[in-house]
Amino acid sequence: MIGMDIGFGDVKVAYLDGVEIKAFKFSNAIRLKQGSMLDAEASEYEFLGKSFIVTPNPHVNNMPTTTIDYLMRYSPLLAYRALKGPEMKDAVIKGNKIAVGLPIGYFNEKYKTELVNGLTRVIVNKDVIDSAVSVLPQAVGILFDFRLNEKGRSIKGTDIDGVILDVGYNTVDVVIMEKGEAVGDESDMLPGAGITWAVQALQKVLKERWAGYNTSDQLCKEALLTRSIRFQGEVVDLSIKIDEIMENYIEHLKYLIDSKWGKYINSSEKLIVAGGGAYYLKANQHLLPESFQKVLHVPEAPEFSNARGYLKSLLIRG
Amino acid sequence: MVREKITSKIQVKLDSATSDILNLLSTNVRGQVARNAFLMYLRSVEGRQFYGAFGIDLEAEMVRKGLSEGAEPDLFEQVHVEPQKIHGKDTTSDAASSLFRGFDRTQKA
Repeated sequence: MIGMDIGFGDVKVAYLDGVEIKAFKFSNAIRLKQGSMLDAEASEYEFLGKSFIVTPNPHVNNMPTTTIDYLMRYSPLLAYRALKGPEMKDAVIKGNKIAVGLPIGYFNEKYKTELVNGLTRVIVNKDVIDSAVSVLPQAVGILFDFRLNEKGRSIKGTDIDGVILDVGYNTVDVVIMEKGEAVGDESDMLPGAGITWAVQALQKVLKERWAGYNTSDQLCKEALLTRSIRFQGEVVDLSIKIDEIMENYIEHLKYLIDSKWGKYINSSEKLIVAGGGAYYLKANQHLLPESFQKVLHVPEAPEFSNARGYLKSLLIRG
Repeated sequence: MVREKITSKIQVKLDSATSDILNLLSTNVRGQVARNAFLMYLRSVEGRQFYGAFGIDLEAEMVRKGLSEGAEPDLFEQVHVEPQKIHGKDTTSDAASSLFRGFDRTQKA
């Protein structure tokens, strides 16, 4: 039984090991096996008649990972990596159930069916894994995580009005919560407003600084956290430039959200911010409007909130 | 001749199988399906992949028998095989569904 948040940058997985929820993540970067030195340490997976490397290490020549078609095609491979990778090797997992999310803008029959069909029977490395699959709108996992405990029971006082921001790699999903229930009509997805916005800005800066140097998405994402990057063997400090980029990013995001959902935030008891991008917003919350700051709630380990919520949706008691 | 013989054996079994396979056959690709089935089996371990690819309870033993009667695996080396997806069903529980509403979006092109 696992909750799986297949993002445009990382795959986050939550699972119940006995009675304890545990979580881990890995990069969703995939590339065809090339038989080079790059592949020496990596695990190889045979999928759809080809050999792939699902790599935790950033390489320049990975496939672009920010399209819905990419997620649809490779979600079975990523699910297999999640289930058979080293993290859950010794875990005691009960039941063959997978709960997974779809970005709000793609939450329709076409993609739901495609995702369910892809994950119901996963065939990788001549291994067949059958599972019951549940698909939830992205960011609604954060609501489940907020509202339910580890046994799937409602937490008292969580049936409130609020706004949920799932700041992902590519998209930001915004979900309106009314009395503890997610309301789709008022919720929406902001494509390109995720951390990729800052990644692209950093890529542009580095390209200008080092005459055409192309840096992978994964390396730039890491650099935004470490505030430095390795170039020609040297660690280069990028703090000042990254501060500037993050200020611009938050200003941009603030404008997008406030213009459409400001009225909801003003009347909310909580502004719940989760997803991998939540770390950046929390670290820079002084840049947010006061109305945002007053009700801001960032759950523990926010990047795993969706995955935990998907898992809790499998545990929920009626 | 060998190929026809084996294909014919497979068809008998397929015709009594699930509607998924019958739908495949109705697209006039009988020979292709049979060849793909054989190749899947040849690339698999204990016929498990063969079973998984088509999502039906075809007996690997039947294919093995066909091979022992003279199939020439090289005949099928050029055939590209992609596992057949099976039709799953969203299993989100009513209790979970009661916590969200109105998310179905108009299908994108």
